[in-house]
Amino acid sequence: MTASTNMQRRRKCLVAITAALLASAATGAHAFTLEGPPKVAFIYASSAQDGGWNEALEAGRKAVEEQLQVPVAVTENIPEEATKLRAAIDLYVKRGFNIIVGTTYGYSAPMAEAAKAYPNVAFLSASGTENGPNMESFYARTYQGWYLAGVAAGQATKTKKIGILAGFPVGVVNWDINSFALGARSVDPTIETVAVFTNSWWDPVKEGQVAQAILDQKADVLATNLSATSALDAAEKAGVPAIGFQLDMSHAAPKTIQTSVVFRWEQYLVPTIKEIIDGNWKPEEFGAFEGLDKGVVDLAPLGPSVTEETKAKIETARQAIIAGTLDPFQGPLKKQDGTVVVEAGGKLDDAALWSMDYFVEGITGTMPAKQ
Amino acid sequence: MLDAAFLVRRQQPGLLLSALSYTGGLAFGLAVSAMLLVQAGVPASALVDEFLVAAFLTSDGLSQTVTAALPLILVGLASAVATRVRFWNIGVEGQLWLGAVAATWVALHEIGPESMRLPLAFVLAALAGSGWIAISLVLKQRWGVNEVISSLLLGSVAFLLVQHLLFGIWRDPANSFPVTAAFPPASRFSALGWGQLHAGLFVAALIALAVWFLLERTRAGFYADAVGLNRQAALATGLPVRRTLAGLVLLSGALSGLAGMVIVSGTEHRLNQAVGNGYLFSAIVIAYLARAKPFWVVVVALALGAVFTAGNVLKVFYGVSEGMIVLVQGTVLISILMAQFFSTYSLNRPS
Repeated sequence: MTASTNMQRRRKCLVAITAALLASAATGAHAFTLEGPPKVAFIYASSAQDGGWNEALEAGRKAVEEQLQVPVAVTENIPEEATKLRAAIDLYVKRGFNIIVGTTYGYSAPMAEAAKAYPNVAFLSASGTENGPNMESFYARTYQGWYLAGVAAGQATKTKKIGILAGFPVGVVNWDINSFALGARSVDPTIETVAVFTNSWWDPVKEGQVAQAILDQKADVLATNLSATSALDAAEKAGVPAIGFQLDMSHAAPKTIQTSVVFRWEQYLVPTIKEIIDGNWKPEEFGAFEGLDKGVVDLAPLGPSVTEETKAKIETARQAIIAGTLDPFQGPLKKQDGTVVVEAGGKLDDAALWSMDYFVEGITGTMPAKQ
Repeated sequence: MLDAAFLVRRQQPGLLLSALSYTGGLAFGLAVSAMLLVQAGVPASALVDEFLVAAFLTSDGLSQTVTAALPLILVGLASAVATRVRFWNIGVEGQLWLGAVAATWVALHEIGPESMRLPLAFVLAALAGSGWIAISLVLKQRWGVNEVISSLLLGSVAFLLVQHLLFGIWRDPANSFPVTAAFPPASRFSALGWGQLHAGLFVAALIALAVWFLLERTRAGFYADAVGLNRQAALATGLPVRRTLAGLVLLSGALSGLAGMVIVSGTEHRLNQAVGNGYLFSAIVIAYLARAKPFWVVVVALALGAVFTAGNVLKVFYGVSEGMIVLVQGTVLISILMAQFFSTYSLNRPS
């Protein structure tokens, strides 16, 4: 969650609701203390073994269990509906669970309501949008990893055309696509990126078809922003360099894999849950939002076909991003239609990142209309 | 030598026989379900604890059960009303989505004075639901298009419309996520201070009472039964067949639309892509088990609400999958339907 978006919301709330919220926000300054022994519960909207998003969080959960030696319960298939999620949370809290981790943005609002009802229970919300004295949303600056993947793609392409498929046009997906295109154009500014939305988070058959369609347009690097490996299968078959997401997807394209942009949620979950247990957790007012520097987002080991030159370029970019001297969205930045988003020397703030609803220059593809 | 036996349809199954076959089927279905769940690793003692104790006998469980039952009562009535006139409304979810969209429109665009928001949402949701089923009705009456197909497919169209809105004008402006902003307090049913239960309870109760009165106590209800039992005969006796059919079908759509309104105004307080999922199946199950009788719709909806509550417990603590919960519902349903065979037919041997 970002500073100014949250502030906009907060302002609205302040006007609309009451001082009660103010009071609860004020208590956020104090460290949160647990009552009773720590018991952690993870709630998933679908299977924990989905081969992508959930599985990456599940790896974090296992690390919490091993490294902190606390019991961690898991529930799968709780739909993104307030009644169903709240029922699950109530059940856990009644049986002494006091650290609840939700794993989808659809849980965000009902979790925030539960957090108000149970002030002594800690709530962590993956890709959530709500925060409070006992609740923190967390996500990763995935666009930083995608910039590096873009550098790899830019180095690998010969036709100067690369492709990426993604799920839905939401801010956190758009920034991945844009950053990927910008990374490639940092290698060669003539590179064109073909971007296609599948309008689903998980549809292996459709993803395979879309991947083939992108290859038919003479793209010679293929990246997927989704959880299934269909695009990588298609790339491997066509002998085209491939880039995966969420987990190391090299098993799907052992020969042509360049890298995968991966989540390492344990880098966030283990220290945060340790803080909660130790009694010195202070939820970030606008959510935890870490990137390459903390290692929450990273690249999987580079594939066998990646050249030494490419490796060096990726490493340089990585160090520059960590040092803060390079920001994928630094100016001058233009939209697809040529309008200027950021002047030279400026950069996008977090609110602008979250609400990103356009493609940058160099991308071929259609962003669904806003109105 | 075994003589051939004939199945003869009973004119009017006795009350005792009906009750026996129904409870027998229920008991059989529950027994099979219990075996399935024990097989899936749920301890037998926990079954009693979770189903009976957690779902009905604890305050939290009961409030959850009742909250979950509210939209189920409405979709169950929707399905029952249409079934009475033998119109197969397979588009319950579509009408529900349209009702939810209407209620969301009133809430987000702050239509009308604050005190009128909920009544306005109520009326518009009902109109939206009946408007959606009216398409299937007209197609059937004008051109004889099968309503099973048209209402089912219109359900998908309604969902695509919701997606279009959620990814377009109604998406969260801060992060483009496909969820609307939260409703202002004026567009929410007030909480009753017992779990998540909300004032939608009264709406559902009053509607159930009204539908009961309509079907069981008025002339229109009698016409509906006549149309449902034999349309040709009803026509021949000069009953207003078309009007009765149209009235009940539109009512069915309105009830589904109101279920959508109760969900978004009662518990979700926003529109998202999950609110309508699964209600079609539940509606059909409820209407069948209740034999399209409004009173029994309420009873069965509460029982199904309990299955959801207990199912949640099983999912959370025993790792039982969603598929298993649906399997239990299906097992109970099919057992009862099979048991009805014994009360509907008698076995006659030629003497």
